[in-house]
Amino acid sequence: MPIQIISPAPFVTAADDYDEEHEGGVRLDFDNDGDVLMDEAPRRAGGQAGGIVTPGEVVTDDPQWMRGHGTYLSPATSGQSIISSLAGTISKTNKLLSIRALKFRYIPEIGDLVVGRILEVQTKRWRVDIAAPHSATLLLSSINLPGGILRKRTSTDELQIRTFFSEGDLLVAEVQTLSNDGLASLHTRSLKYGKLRNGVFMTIDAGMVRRMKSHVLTLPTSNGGGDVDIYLGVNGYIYIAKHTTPLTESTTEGKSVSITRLEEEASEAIYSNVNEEISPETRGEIARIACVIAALAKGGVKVDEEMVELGYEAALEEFLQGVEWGGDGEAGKRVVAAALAKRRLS
Amino acid sequence: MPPPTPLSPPELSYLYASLSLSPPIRLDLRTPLQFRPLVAEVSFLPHCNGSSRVCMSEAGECIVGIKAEVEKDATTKYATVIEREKWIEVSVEVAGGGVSGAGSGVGIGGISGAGGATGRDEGDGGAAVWLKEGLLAGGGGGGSILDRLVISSGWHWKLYIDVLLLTPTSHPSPLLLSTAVNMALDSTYLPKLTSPHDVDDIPTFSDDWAISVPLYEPTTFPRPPMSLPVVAVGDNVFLDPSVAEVAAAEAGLVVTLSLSDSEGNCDIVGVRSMEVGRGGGKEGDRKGINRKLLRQMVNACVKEAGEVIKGIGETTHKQMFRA
Repeated sequence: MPIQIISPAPFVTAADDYDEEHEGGVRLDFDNDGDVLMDEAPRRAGGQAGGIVTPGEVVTDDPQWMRGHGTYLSPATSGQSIISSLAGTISKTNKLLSIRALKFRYIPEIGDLVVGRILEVQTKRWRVDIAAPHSATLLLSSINLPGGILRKRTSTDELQIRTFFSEGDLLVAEVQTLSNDGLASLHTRSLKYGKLRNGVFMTIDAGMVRRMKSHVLTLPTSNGGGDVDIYLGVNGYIYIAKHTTPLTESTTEGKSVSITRLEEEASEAIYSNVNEEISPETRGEIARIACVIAALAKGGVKVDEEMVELGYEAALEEFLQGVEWGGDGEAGKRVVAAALAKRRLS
Repeated sequence: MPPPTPLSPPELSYLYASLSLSPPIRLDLRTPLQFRPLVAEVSFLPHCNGSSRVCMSEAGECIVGIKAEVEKDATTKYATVIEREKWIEVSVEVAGGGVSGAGSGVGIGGISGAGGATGRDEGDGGAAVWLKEGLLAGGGGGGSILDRLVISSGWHWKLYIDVLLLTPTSHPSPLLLSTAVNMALDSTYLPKLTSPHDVDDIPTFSDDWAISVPLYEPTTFPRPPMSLPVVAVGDNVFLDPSVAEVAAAEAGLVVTLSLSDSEGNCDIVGVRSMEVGRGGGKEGDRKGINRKLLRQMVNACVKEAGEVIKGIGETTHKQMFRA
């Protein structure tokens, strides 16, 4: 059948991820020793760790709990109960109750690698969408200008601002500074960062990317796909592209290029809008990786280097068994399950 | 929400190149004529004659409630066409946005004509007009939905179809809307008439919902209409395009069909063009749509629609009778 119709399933918390599953399932009407508090009023279904609460819902009126993130105390007149201010699951640390939101936006932190999209070109700067509550800014002075990092920014550059980035362009950058109200300022002053091309862009929920040492992975693919770069933005924006030799490695005869020379190499080419030639095999593997990441995020498994690799392996095995991903809605679930099984074994 | 930002030129060219390969590679590894899975449930609103909730991965969620009201014919003799068209009222509301009823201009999925003035006296109803148009057109086998709304001489049902879109994007897929309306119509039951058909008095109905009559008999045809979006990239034709695929497409159509027999044959009820991006090329050098490609696009819809509408109908009935 060309279409698959699924009947709605009740909400299940993301318990697949083994290092998080121990937090759930603790009932609030037990005290810490596990004794049932007999004089408790019966709780509603939501009032249990791992259950869902909505904004304004009373989490508990038991005075033994302290309020944590995502909760507030009701006015003293109505008996000091803890009320949720978010829609999310209850989590409990000793006597501290907090609500973990089901969906939230990315909160930028200094040093995060993010993938963003230019929203607006202003004088001397760009406004960049990084899935945060506020859009970030990228100053003209914090990008690599063609012709060398030591070059002074001139008024000509200001006039040519659109030749570097224009609306809709994707870029990978690092959060440089944060203002008091959480407004991020980005920079791309490294050859690792800059404009993205030769690939596809996808988004997952912000919380689904695990913070790692390096957020740029290079994955060798099979089926003649060659190497594929994966930019896992901490903000949940992901770019998967054909591996291109970074300019830092493009040295001739092993002779390293001097810093100033290197910057000259990074001339207009880094702001080019033209893709390289990408073979159909690479395109196929890029699509497969995108499907793996989407399936991981959908299955409630945090995306990191290990999971992407294991998931890709599992997807390849499925492929060898002749399962076409697109033709089977369950394929994603099976791949995630297989990847999790592999992680437990390793 | 800021207005949707265009895709970057490298992205578009990558998409365009992938989709125009032979065989094409879709980003979600679907085959060209395959639909994305959707989550659906029917008749879950207690105060509606029929209701449905449909979720699609990218396009968001859509809730449809259908209420029927007994109304006296405005004219005593044969009701005019314009009179009869008012028997169905469609309103599309976008959560947090405006209402697409008469006079508002909520355009859906970039369907041409659905966002602008249509020259009718309902004003520019946007998606509401487009949905209603498909409904009124009925099927090739005759038997418009309006005939089913006649209760007795002088009386008819008035249908209120209320669509609520809970969607994060401003471009929900026409498929989402049309699937939701289709399922809601299919799950609509009207109370059984107990007074005679040919009397002018106020009709009376049975209180028993167990013997209520379905608006669309499950075994009769045509079934409620269904609209399928289809885009073309190069020589390839894709059903149920994602937002990115629409942006990279060269031509787009929304084909409205209704099932005409149990074999899965379909009648084309209407074809509208859909606004698409600028393809892989630069602004201005987009290819036109030739007769061969047009035929290919419509054929793809007709070929797949039977299975899709049947599948959706089966799901609806399964859920209806499980409860």
